Amino acid sequence: MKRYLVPIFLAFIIAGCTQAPDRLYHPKAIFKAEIKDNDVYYTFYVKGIVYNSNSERVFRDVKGEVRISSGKSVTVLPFEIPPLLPFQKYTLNVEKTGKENEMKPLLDLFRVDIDRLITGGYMNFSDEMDIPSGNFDFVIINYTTENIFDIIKKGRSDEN
Amino acid sequence: MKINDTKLYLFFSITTLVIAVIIGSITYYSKLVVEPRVEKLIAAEGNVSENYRIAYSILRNPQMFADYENFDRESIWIKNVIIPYMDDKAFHSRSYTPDEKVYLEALMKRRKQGSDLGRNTVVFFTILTLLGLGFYLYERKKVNAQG
Repeated sequence: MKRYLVPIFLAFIIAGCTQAPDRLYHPKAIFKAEIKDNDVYYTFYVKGIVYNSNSERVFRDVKGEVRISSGKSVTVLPFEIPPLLPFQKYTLNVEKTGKENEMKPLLDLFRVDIDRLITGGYMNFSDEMDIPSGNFDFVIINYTTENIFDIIKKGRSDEN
Repeated sequence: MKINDTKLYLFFSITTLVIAVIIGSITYYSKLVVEPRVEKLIAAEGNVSENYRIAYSILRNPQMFADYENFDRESIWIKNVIIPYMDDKAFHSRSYTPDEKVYLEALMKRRKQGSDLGRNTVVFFTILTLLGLGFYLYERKKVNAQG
């Protein structure tokens, strides 16, 4: 039993030191209405900033989801992030397009006036809106990490 | 009842001395070994990319008292501009050019500030050690005189 304690303890320490981005900063939502083939399509955009606050860890293959819950329904917007270097910021943009019946929960949640959105042309955008924190979830599902010192040294050995 | 403070002064002196020795060894390793090596690499004229890469790999690891995550004016510039830029170059295996010298010099300046702060801390703890030792000797003399 004792021989397992040290690796477990070390694993906890390492896991504690490697904090994956767990927050989307300044999340904003925008709606767009577009008429295609005599049908109105709505696109819901979420944008925000992902920040790697870790000083040494590079996060690769980051996959996650932005979940917006509105009443009983949950809209899931999957995303992938390119390698995130230490102290690096990345502007995340995710979107979902659908017809009115599909997008209704989101349109209702943000109290978007559909008539105002579609009047006046073929393409209209709503104002930028804050996303209520209670209805919003930012989840990282998968990632791998690499130490920046290994990358700097590897670059050096590649050139030799 | 009189309190004998001799042991207290002795332990205090030993503690401050140990702290001074630990900080001193880290500080002077940086001042005598790391900094001259990095300065030589930055000043080298041939094979700039390779020399700068080695210099950056050393400077990327901050000095104990000059962490890049500290909240001061210079660290914000280093954290938000220099480190992401230089890391990105390393990540994409791009060559370092003489234009990056100014960034390496900024990192070097910060390291020197850190080791200067380390040296001042060593002086502070050395003074505390000497004070503690002085009080220890005075107290011991007083105890011996009282028999």
